[in-house]
Amino acid sequence: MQKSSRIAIVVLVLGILVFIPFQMLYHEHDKTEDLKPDFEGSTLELADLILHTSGSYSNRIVEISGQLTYSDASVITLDHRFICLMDSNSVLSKKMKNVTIKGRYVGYDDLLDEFKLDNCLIITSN
Amino acid sequence: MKKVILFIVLLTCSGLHAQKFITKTGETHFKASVEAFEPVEAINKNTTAILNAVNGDVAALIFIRSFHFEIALMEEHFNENYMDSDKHPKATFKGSLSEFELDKLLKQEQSYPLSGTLTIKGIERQIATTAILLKKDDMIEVKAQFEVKPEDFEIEIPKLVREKIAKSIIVTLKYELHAKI
Repeated sequence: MQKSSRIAIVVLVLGILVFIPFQMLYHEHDKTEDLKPDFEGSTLELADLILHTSGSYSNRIVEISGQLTYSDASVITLDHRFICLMDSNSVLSKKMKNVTIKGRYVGYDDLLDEFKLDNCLIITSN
Repeated sequence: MKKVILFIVLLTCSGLHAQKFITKTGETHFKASVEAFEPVEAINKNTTAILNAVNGDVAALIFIRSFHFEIALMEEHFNENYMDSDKHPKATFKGSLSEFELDKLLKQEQSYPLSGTLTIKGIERQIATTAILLKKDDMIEVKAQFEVKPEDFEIEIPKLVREKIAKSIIVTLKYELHAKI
């Protein structure tokens, strides 16, 4: 084997040895749009499941539909009880009435009797 | 006509005399960085906090999973290895602002002693610090900073990374509390 070929192989192997751990250490955060929801339905159905069944939805991706009852630059509220912290890329409009959002359910807020989500995206609105 | 004027006056003033001020999107930040190593810090923009304007009582709730790190792997290790977020999804604070009187709040920053119980991983520890309060229309801005030690909450740092994580973690909070009418 020629010397230049050997150098090329060594460089390639070293490159792979550096690249793979780097990719493992600095991989990107999961994107909500790429994740499959574990629950799809209305806010009422999800509230019922969370409060009345033993299964945990914490840290799960959910796609929920409800009436928009509040919105500002970073948050929308569905049906007064689902507080959705929006992904920074989401576009909010005060004209929206019925909204379907996809996001990560983080937990039940017992201080305010509300359900909290983050990394939310608007799927549909009218 | 008098009733209409009275109603408008009451509506205008109600924000200033609300009994509770709340936020659902308070910012809680922590920093456990050591110089010369990768920064170890995260921010949570999903904090609930309530101030009872009558007696100065404060309650806050944070979902651990909502702490966002720049590096995804660091966030995974934080939740799975250190905080056990599936088992202990929330951290809470219950305390009070001493000498708090809503009517004496100013548009300039004022300091109030803040003390209470911080609960992380089900373990309670007493916290005492100084909160800076500022009134902006019908909103109260609260800022505070305190330090906690991982071992106080039975958070075990593996030997391999011990030198890369600060022994004392600085927690900073900034909450914009709005009148709940």
